[in-house]
Amino acid sequence: MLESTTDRLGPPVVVPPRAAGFSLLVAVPFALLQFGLWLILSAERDWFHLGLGALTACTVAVLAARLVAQSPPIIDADGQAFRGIPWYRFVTYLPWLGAQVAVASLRVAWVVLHPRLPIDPRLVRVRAPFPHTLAKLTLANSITLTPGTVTLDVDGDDFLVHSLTESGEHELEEGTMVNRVSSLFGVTGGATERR
Amino acid sequence: MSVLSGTMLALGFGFVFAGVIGILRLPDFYCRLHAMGKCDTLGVALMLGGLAVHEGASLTSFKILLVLLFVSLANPTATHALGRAAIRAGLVPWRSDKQQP
Repeated sequence: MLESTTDRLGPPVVVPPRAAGFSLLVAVPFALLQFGLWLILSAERDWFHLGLGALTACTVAVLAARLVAQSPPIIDADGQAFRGIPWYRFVTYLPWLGAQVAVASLRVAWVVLHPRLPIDPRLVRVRAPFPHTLAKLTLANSITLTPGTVTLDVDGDDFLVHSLTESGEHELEEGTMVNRVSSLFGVTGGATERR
Repeated sequence: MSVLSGTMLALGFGFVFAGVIGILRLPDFYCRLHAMGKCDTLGVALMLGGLAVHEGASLTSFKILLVLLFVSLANPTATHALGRAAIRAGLVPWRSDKQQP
């Protein structure tokens, strides 16, 4: 039936591959995972609570299994599906990000408690042509968590960043964050532009 | 142990306090996002961590750590969502006098 429709409408439309609908292979482990979480969180061991937990876990698994199976496509630069980050890169990235968060909070606290309120806010446009969504997401969130900058919007390869101080803009221009995320994902980074 | 948890609680309180001062003092919505998104995330994380340390290794502290994980994911996300909504709605950021032409 699908083929006859495409024949009548001309060339076939390219449909991106989709994960199958409901699948027990996904739903059962998902339900078990949730039931385990329920056991840890409720810490009740009588039949009433166990039954409630099993019922809840099954309901959520049935409703959400399709979403779990259908993870968003993450495409690499050469059209390959994104396979993951080498763990050693992740291990070095996380503590660095944590330190940045601490520095960010200290700096905002210092600016805020300073009697003269030394702020000079501006918008900065960062261009970072990352090939997959996960890299963009990581960069946007990392910018938000680092000193004096908050990502407002992502439009294609352009990141619109609000910087609280002038130094925040300079740090964006140096591109440390873009390089960090680039090396984390093993892709090439981008450049910064004042708006 | 109680010294560590007390220090973490006090530091966390300090950061949340700085965040509140920031929301009161900063000139516009976007600047206030900085105070809310950064100081509060670290402050709440420190306070929850301090509570977990105080509680020791137990089910309660595991739950606190789950809340900590959730807050550290949800707070930056909410900050970004607010900022994005504001810029799409056309709210013009405040500029200081020295940049005005």
